[in-house]
Amino acid sequence: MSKVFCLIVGLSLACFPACAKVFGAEEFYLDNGLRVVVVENHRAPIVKTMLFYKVGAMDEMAGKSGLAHLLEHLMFRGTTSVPASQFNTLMLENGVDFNAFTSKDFTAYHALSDISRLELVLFLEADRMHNLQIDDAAFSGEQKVVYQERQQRVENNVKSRFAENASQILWQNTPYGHPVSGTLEEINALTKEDALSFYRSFYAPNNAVLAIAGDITFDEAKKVVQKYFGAIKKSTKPIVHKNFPKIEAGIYQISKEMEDVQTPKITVSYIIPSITTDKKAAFALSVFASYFGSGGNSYMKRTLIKKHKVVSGAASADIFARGYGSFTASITPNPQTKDEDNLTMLENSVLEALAALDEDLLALEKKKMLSWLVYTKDNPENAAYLVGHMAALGLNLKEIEAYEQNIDSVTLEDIKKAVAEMQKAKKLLTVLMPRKEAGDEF
Amino acid sequence: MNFKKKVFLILNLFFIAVAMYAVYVFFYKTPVDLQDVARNALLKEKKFELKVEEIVLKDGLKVWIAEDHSAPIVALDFYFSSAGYAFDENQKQGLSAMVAALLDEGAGAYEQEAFSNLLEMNAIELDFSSDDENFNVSLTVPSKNLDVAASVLRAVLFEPHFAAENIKVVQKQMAEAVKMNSERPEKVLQKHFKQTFFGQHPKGRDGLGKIEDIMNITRADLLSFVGNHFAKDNLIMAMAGDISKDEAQKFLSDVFSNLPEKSAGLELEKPETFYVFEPQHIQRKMPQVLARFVLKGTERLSEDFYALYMATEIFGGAGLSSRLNLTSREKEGLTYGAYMYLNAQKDAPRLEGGFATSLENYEKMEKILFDEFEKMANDGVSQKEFNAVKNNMLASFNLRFKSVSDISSMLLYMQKENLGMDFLQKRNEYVLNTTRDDVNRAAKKYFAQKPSIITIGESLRKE
Repeated sequence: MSKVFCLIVGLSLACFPACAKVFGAEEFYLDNGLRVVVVENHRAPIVKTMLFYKVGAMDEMAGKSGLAHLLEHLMFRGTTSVPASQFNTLMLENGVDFNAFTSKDFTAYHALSDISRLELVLFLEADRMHNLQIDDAAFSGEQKVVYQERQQRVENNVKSRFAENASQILWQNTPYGHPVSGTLEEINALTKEDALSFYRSFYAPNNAVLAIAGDITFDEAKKVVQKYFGAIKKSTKPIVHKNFPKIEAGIYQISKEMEDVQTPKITVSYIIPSITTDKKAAFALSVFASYFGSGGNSYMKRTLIKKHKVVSGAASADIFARGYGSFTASITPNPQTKDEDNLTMLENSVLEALAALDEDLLALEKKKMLSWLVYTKDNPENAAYLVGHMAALGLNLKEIEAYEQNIDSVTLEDIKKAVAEMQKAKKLLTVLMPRKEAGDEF
Repeated sequence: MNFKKKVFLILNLFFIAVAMYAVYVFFYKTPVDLQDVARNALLKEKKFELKVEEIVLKDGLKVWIAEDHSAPIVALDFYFSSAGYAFDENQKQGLSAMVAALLDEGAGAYEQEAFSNLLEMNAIELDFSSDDENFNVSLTVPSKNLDVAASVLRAVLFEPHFAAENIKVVQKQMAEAVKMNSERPEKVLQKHFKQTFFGQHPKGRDGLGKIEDIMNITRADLLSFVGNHFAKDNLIMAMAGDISKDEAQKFLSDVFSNLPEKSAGLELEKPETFYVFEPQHIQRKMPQVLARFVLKGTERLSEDFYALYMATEIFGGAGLSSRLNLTSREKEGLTYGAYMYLNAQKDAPRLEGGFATSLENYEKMEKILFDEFEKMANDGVSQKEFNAVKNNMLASFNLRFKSVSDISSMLLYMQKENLGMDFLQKRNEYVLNTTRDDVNRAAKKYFAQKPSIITIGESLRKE
């Protein structure tokens, strides 16, 4: 079900440069609090809808990891008015391409359909916003399915297992500290009551954002959304979101040799501000990360790969988060160099890159990041995801459309200050190596 | 009334009956007022047609094009045929993949850094890849930057640098990728599966190549690849988006007119394919068992194609409502998903599927699979299933026009598979003309085979 859930970070990095005024997004609110953002795209008679609920793994109670994700699965198993798996059958018969994903921040349900099927999609989406029914067989079935999903996505693969472990250490004692898919023990201990009470606490129009992109006018969108979602009641209880604790600075390190590992990997990660905690610093770091480690001519490529003979490397800053963001740089080291030297080199390269950054390079980097904005006019799926995601983070329309200015106004001073702060924040170093006997070189 | 007219009338009546029944089934099944949803819908079906045209360049090169000015973006997709990895020389496995990795690392007047800055500042997306048959290029560009794109493409096609320093970097990265794939069980299984299915034939290779070959590829090899394969007689092209036919003509002539007329014209023997083999198992310590299975399918233009496609969708299509997912996932919770699809590849058409499940579920899962095959072969599909898949194919038709690169790669695919320039107009007729009887005949013919299975994981059967 949540094919996209591990993609969410990657997507936001890949696509966020592509969002700005060019969206021409419009928005309205229903009386029940549902926020709706609309982006018109009239190429073909199709529409992408994405319904974001502001609830994700970070909202789970201690010991209940995997609950947000399991609930996402149960949302396909029937309501009081559209029972059993009729939801899936109806979507199939109507040629709708649909799925859902759960991240640390959000649970999102999305559908790409012909314009003539949009109202069916909205009807079904509205119906399961307030009429979910969970029967015992469906519950225990989906519990087994998410268990299998976790094994397939995470546990079968040594690098995913290690990455999950590293993420837990980076985020320990915060709401991001447990895996979205849950731990096997905790998945098995979840109950139907857990799922229902989570549903009642968080699934409500006033805790959701609906993004619609495609061959529809703003007025038409207003009419059809009101028609299907208008009657749903606002939640009577206040919706309580967790506060993100302050994170103590500190340096952590994990080094492991593992049997199935064929290519070594070294990473350095920092906890950084996000657009919801410190917008200015977050955008400065996103420009810095792009200059440092993304694209065909990054600092890492010029210096680490070409000069220091590192095999490959990349860096990114994830700043679109409800909590804090993160900055991660990783390399596949040169096998001739000692692990410790590689780690030191990677760490130092962040500061060396900063020292090498001048006004010309900064202007070039910003121009590169902004050139892609034009592609938001192309595919309605991108527009719905980007605008919907930012709206779900609580950005108002002006802030969403200000993406271009936010990048363009980053100065060298902003970057220097933000990187200096980052260096003082919590840091995690990881070294993952093959077992030594498999020491062939390339 | 002559015979033809009669048949026509009867067929029409039949289609109307089928359509009415579909409507009946659709509305009858649901207790809520979904009827009202449809009846009171404000947003109705819209007619949408995309005109596909052919332009012919001065030197005779032909290009299929779909103009669409809804966004200021242009996409161009093309390939050089008989230049994919199956055509790499035996001691040079990985050559075509290495060319793909190196073409954007400097060409013409641009050193690697300048080249990459040029692409990124002008939002030019340029991808190279090789599949078993062809060497593929895909370009997406804002229409205002078409001139830059033309000079970039010319540089790449006529003056790639293949600098020694960059060759070394890419060799190491490709070797890294080969090793990384051996960390991932699904990749190991896929590699083993291809080798088993194609035997010694080069289509069974790993497209990335072999590490020892990769490390021995020289600049001369890379240049001779370009000389052998970048030519007019094996070039197929498609274009879409914000460009007029005249502009397209000029753009394409600028880029391609200096290509040599003839490619090396390599040929491959027809592969001997292995649909039937004993169960194979790859031992590996991991929590689940992953399985791949295969049986004979049919080619794209065969008369069984649509019928078998529909049967396969009902059996193992991507959605949650396929028979495999209903029985193994929804009912039993044995797997996150099981699937099967029709791979209509020329000379190797096959039904290919797979699933992942915990070791203790494996036998149950395999039994469900075999039972479902038997059921399909014996009983075919129900009217309800048939209607659902048919309506799905009709209602989802417009989703293929999402982006200009989707459109241009579809136009390229239409040429590759000889579907005809009027395919988009005819496609829904093909679907409507396929009957439940056709689907059941295909089910009987293909699903009676026993699938051959390869697995990876802990030992399956107790010693």
